Amino acid sequence: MLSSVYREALWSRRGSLLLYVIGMGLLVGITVGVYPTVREGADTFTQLLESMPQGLMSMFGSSDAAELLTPAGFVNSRVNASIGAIVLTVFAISLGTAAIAGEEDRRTMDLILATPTPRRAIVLSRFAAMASMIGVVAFAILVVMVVANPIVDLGFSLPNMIASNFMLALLALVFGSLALAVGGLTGKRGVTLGVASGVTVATFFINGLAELVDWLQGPQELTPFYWLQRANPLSKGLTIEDTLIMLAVTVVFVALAVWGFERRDVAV
Amino acid sequence: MTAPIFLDGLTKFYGPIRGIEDLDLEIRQGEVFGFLGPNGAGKSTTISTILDFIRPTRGTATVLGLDSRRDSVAIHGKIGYLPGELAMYEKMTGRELLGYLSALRGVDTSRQVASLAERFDLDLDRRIRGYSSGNRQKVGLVQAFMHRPELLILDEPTNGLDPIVQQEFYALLREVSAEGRTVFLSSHILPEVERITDRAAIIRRGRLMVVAEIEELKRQAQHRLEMTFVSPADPEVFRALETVRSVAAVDRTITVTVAGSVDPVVKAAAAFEVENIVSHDGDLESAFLSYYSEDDDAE
Ligand SMILES: Nc1ncnc2c1ncn2[C@@H]1O[C@H](COP(=O)(O)OP(=O)(O)OP(=O)(O)O)[C@@H](O)[C@H]1O
Ligand SMILES: [Mg+2]
Repeated sequence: MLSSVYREALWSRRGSLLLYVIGMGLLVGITVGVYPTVREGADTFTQLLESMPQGLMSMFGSSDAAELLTPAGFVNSRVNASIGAIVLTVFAISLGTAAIAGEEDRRTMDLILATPTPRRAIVLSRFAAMASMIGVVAFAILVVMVVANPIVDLGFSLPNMIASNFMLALLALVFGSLALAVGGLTGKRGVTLGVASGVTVATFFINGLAELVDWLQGPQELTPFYWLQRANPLSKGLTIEDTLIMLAVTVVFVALAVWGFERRDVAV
Repeated sequence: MTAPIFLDGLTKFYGPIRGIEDLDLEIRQGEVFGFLGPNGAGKSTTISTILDFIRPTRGTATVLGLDSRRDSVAIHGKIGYLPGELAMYEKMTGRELLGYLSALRGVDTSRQVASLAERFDLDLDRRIRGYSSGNRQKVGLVQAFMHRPELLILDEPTNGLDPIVQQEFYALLREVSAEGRTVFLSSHILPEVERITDRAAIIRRGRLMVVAEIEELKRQAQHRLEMTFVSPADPEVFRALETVRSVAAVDRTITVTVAGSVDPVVKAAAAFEVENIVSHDGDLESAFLSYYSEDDDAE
């Protein structure tokens, strides 16, 4: 029963999953591919970076020009600290929204609910499917990194690459679970998409701008983007503390989703 | 024997809006029960509450002896449900959808699906998106019947079906009922409910107006007779009849509404030279006017 919902959730998303795998693979491939050019022109790039406002640089995951030009700093700036994280988060939010609110919006929820499928099983199966799909994309990134590592001479260790993509997946999962929670609580697709993307954008900029704006430094500590940034897994490997924080937040969101969905009227 | 459906003071308000209020109802095993009411009467609200998609404001529903809230999952395993506004996964084929729903029920329905599809002349290998509305409805019916549930809850089941498929559906209902299984169906079409159900309830503005055998309802139902005479007839003759509720005369045509037997009207009309008589069974609204108007003061 549970596994049917899980399998259907995966199967119905196979098209977009493939697109995200290809898209993220290309993004990482290109990022790694241009790195030799960056390395050769390091002096020019350092000057360029140092002429940039601090805040802009910190948006790329580090305010230190020299660090940004190391292999870890460069790949991190594109994949974990900016576009990569955002793209994977967008995927996660679309899955988290579709899981409950999206289905209610299409008025098909009563078909499944009329079968002996507990509401909780629907939420948990779809969460599992979301986590699996995010995992597949993160794994694809890992494969590209592992292949490119010796070719471009990046010098990443395997544990660090695994840690980096695992924590990137967790970051996306936090936001996907937020969408799942809002969907479970409200059942409204527009609200769910709005809240989840709003929180994503807000936390992204709070983290990026905290370097410049003093009073943002408190709130910065609460943003998942900051947790990933300070963990810096590509250089430092898996950080237990930040991993646990992201897992805990995810668990809270999933629990909220189950609680919300079980207690309210469903739109049919 | 526990009643397949037992409602005790079932009430649902959407905020201040009344969906249904104080519904008391007992369905008998093996009967085909009609739930009649105009648009917005509360038919779908009742069904959604019974199936625990939405939660009652107060009151309880007991289905096959199980509590609709506490035992909803067990109940869902024993019932077949057809939504009133049927939405399905557009990208699946009919077969894929039925396969998915069977998997969720944990039953192999392939033989039933094949035989139902054949009865309804339904091609299962097309995408839902490409089905006509009648064919969508057939898929909905197949998924409701395919696991041979002991209780069927069907919200306006004949929506969009052509007459031939309707007949097939009526035959299916008779078989189900002959096997001792129970059908609860909603409709706003009186002649349909008259034809296919044993008992019916009439609901209006969220309140149950009457629950009765179909034969009883037929006796009380109002008909409208439109009689055209060769030369103008005297309307007073009809007004004097006991079952006549109203009389209107325009030129050579006299229109009467009759509650109960039309026999005295036809006999009275025979005193004149009749050109034509048209009988309107009437839609629910006019047919059960007596029930409807009682409620108006109570608003
Ligand atoms: N989600 C909702 N929010 C607010 N009001 C609702 C909601 N669903 C139904 N209602 C109201 O409850 C009443 C009963 O609606 P319901 O859908 O049960 O009627 P129905 O008998 O099924 O009508 P129809 O024949 O049109 O399907 C109506 O007044 C309707 O406007
Ligand atoms: Mg309805």
